[in-house]
Amino acid sequence: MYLDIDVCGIHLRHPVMNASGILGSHREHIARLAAYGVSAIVTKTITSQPREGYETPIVIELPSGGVLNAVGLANPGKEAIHELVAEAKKFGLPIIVSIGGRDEREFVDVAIEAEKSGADAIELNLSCPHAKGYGIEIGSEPNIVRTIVREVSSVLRIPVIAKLGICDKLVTSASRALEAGARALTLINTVRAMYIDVFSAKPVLSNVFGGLSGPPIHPLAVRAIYEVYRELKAEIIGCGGVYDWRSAAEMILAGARAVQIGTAFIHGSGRKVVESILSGLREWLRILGLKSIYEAIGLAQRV
Amino acid sequence: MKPARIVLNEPIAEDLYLLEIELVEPIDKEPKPFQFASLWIPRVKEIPLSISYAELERSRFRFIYKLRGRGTRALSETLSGSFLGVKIPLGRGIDLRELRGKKLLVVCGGVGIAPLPYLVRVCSENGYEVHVVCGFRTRQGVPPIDLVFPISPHSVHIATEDCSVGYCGDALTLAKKVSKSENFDDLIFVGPSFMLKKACEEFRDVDPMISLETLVRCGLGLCGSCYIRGSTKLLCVDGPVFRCSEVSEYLAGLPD
Ligand SMILES: Cc1cc2nc3c(=O)[nH]c(=O)nc-3n(C[C@H](O)[C@H](O)[C@H](O)COP(=O)(O)OP(=O)(O)OC[C@H]3O[C@@H](n4cnc5c(N)ncnc54)[C@H](O)[C@@H]3O)c2cc1C
Ligand SMILES: Cc1cc2nc3c(=O)[nH]c(=O)nc-3n(C[C@H](O)[C@H](O)[C@H](O)COP(=O)(O)O)c2cc1C
Ligand code: FES
Repeated sequence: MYLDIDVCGIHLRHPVMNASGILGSHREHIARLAAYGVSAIVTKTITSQPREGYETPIVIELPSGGVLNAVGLANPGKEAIHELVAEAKKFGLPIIVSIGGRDEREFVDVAIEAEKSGADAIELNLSCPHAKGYGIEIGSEPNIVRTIVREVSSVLRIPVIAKLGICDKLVTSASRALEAGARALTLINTVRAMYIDVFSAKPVLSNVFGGLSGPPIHPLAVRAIYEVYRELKAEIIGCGGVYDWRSAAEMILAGARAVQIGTAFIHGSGRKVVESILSGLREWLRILGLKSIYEAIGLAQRV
Repeated sequence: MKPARIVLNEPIAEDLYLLEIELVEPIDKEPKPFQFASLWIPRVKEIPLSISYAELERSRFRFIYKLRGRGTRALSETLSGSFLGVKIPLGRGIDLRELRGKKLLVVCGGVGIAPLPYLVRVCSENGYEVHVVCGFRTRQGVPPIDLVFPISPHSVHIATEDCSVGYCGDALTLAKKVSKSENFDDLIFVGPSFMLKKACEEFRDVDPMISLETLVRCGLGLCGSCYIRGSTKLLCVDGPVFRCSEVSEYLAGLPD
């Protein structure tokens, strides 16, 4: 059973890539992700200038499952894109450069650098829930989403993917992004959350607030994909809490054609996770009598 | 992040502290030698520290730390009875079976002594012999060996660079002397990076193990800050101990 699939015109060997921010900011990370067996590399969100990120703790595992992070968009700045792209090419892998910005000028600036460097696509981070002035602060406003996607799409030839997060006007934002030229959507990012240590009686993340990821957000992601696919029939990359073939299959049935994995790559488990998802998906398609992923996309919409 | 209470936190040499914590809830997996922890000092920061000793039955863990900057200073000022958060155990540590035999020479510089007491315990429980060479700058820097090692190594050789205690010189020179007079099955070096680089050069023929330090931010294999230059390894997942040959590109990039 073949698992290959096209996402905004890019041919992928199978539907599993890494999520932005899981490694993906140095050359060495790209080689490691390639060894995990992903079908495309997604970089850490890159901004024009390098960013140090927040003081530790930046990532913690929660007792209830899931992970909370506020890394603070630490990244080496746009100068590093060239090296990341070149490294992915060495492994014959498509690379999607994730881009962050405070306004359309910064997004355009980094996007141009990504295209010049030979990136296959860019993903606009319109959804990080804990970096001041970035992410969801702009991504929850449909008109700003439209402006940014339009400005970026109009200067690029490579496809633009908009990564959106949970917010009241998600379907409207998604629709504006597509009208403005986005070829696909990544749904969802982490969900704003916090964790308090009950012995020291203090919030644990240095930034106090962070983004929740992992299995606890999976049902939110499935719902977001389902609603957006139902209304817009867009190309969707599902993200949020995927950790095995079932959680991936659920997203495909809701309307996703590919999935991204972040938290499940914890403790270096990437290779095992990718392999077991792929073999599970093959077996699942066989059981359902489907010939490819295409036949499964959005199947759960028929109710 | 597991809650823990400080039961002991006191100076044992110049700028060197011994810390003992007790986890609020027990963990059931015996750590491996050279695994480490990340200690969260509430509203200050997290600090990665080697597990210096572990008594799982009592949920007690020991650390030895050197005053460096804001975090270690804040830790030294934190009183017994206070609560911390800990990520433990982190890293892969070492599996005794990957060693080339049962007679080891372990060489440390300064606070590099930290992970040795637990290594000695696990080794002695499994019939391994650990011989220790430790170098310090001055007499004031040398901690009381009996206090540091709840279980004694087979032998301990001390060197000081100011010639005030033991061998007159650095740990590496003494290690060369000791390893010439006796045969060892495997060598492990723990210390500042210039010492590790030199150890890999001078003991090239035996390809020893070295314990590295890189910037550990998440400790979970997600953020990538601990990557080892020129390799696909993450220190917090695959380390901190490697054979010199596994990290040669990283070593080449270090200053001499
Ligand atoms: C796996 C591992 C085990 C370690 N074991 C011990 C130990 O047992 N005892 C001990 O005293 N020290 C140990 N260290 C070093 C210790 O983590 C640093 O000394 C400590 O983080 C310094 O924090 P600070 O705020 O006091 O100093 P800062 O002023 O923040 O930094 C001083 C120096 O410490 C190092 N450092 C700072 N932050 C980190 C970090 N997050 N990760 C790694 N290095 C850092 C850098 O070299 C820096 O220049 C270990 C480091 C690692 C990676
Ligand atoms: C440590 C960490 C860093 C992240 N950094 C980014 C980032 O830079 N840009 C981004 O768009 N999303 C970032 N995310 C969010 C992930 O890409 C993903 O959307 C989210 O974690 C949900 O997927 P998961 O449950 O599989 O982890 C980060 C997540 C984590 C855990
Ligand atoms: S510290 Fe190792 S990956 Fe974050």
